[in-house]
Amino acid sequence: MTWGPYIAMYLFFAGAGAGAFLAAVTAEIYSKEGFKPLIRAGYLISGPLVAFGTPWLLLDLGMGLRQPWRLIGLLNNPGSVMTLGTVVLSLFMPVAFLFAIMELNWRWPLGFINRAVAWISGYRNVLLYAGTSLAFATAIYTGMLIGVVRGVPLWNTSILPALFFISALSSGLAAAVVFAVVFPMEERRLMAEHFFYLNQVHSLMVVVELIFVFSWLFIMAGLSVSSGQSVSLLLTGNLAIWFWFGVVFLGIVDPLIIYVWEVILGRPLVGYAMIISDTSVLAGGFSLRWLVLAAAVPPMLY
Amino acid sequence: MAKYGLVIDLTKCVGCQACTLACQAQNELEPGEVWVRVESVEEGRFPTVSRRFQTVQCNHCDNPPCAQVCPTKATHKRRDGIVLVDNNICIGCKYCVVTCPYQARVWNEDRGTPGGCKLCATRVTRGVQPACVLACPAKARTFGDLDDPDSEISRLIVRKRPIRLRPDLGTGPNMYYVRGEK
Repeated sequence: MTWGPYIAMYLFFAGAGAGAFLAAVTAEIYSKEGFKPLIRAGYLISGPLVAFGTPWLLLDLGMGLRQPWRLIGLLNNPGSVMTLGTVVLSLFMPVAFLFAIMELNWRWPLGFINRAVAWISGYRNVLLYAGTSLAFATAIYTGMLIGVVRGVPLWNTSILPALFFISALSSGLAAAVVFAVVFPMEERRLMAEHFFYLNQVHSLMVVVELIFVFSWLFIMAGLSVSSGQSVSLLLTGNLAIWFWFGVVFLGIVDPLIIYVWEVILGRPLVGYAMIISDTSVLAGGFSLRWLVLAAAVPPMLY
Repeated sequence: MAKYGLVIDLTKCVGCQACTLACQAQNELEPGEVWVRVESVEEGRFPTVSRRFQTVQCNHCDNPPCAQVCPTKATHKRRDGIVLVDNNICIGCKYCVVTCPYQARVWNEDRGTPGGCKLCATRVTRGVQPACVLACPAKARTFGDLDDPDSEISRLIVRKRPIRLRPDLGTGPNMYYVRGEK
């Protein structure tokens, strides 16, 4: 396994950061008032999540820490997805941090910082368009990076960016909800009916994810010898326990159970039930990245 | 311009791995760091089974996936067709290692950069044959210019109809293998 858990961390946190931003933007567009805690949480964690993800890539680089000046070379080949991703991430991170600073609304000790934040806030709409486009690009990039790899038939398919995109959305939403619950706003909290609605949206995402995962694996099972071996590794082989527990149970079944439970009860479960559902979505999102990387099998040569 | 490649006559290969060792000596590789590997292949169905050897190394592809994905352009294709890594600008992201369908890029943890068959670029520009070609006791390896219709390698390709490894992947590999009768 050439690319291991470090790259999985990088892909997961970059995707979750982009997803948190998109969750906040969506909540802001469709409902300003009730979802204020979610919007706030999404903007606050988006930049830090991406910033937490990128060092894992640097740690994986053979030369990244020994001779860091070489990293500028990452921009050399516009035909490489990694170069494009570097551009996208380096633009998205500062924009996401600007939104976090605007959301914090602190009074900084130095006057010029306050004036700068006020000036930037004047261009919030422009930044919102830029940030949204960059968040889309970031989330799709995490799948494109490995989707173009011809040396691994399991990855080399166009459904992979779509799968990583929907997984990034659900991870980002989950991270924002967990943050909103753990660090609630003083004046306003997420209300029961909001949780119910969020769970509904989340269940829909998870069902789409389920469809993507299984249609992808089903087609890959018969596409070539090596992609079939990858699928066997995931479904019945050495990785099966992690796949069924991590990706399927934690990432997909668990949030669905909680949602169905709520429908049966006729009332939303708030607080810890929400945290359980969303942390398990996060664990499922990381498991997906890690297992997709771990299940790589090169093509048969003869 | 030249386009260098190899014809490897697998019907002559005895699996002695002299090519592997000659390559390691030429490139000062570490033990276990293998740029030219010899795989042992079992074929057929009982009771008519057979065993043969298959060597695999960088195919110096016409359309190299490693160079396409390399973010720094450290991996590049020379005008004579040889695909090389520039270890002075490589950041060690391993994208080429995962992308090569032939698994011909070998990661070196100590150096922090990958390596692979250079088709003995420093030797062939001086007119000397690659180390693996000279080392092969069965004379199974023929090096030459694929663009020159009169070269020995081009004649061999016409006469022996060798196959390439997975040309369907669109890589345009330049290693030719004579398989003989099945």
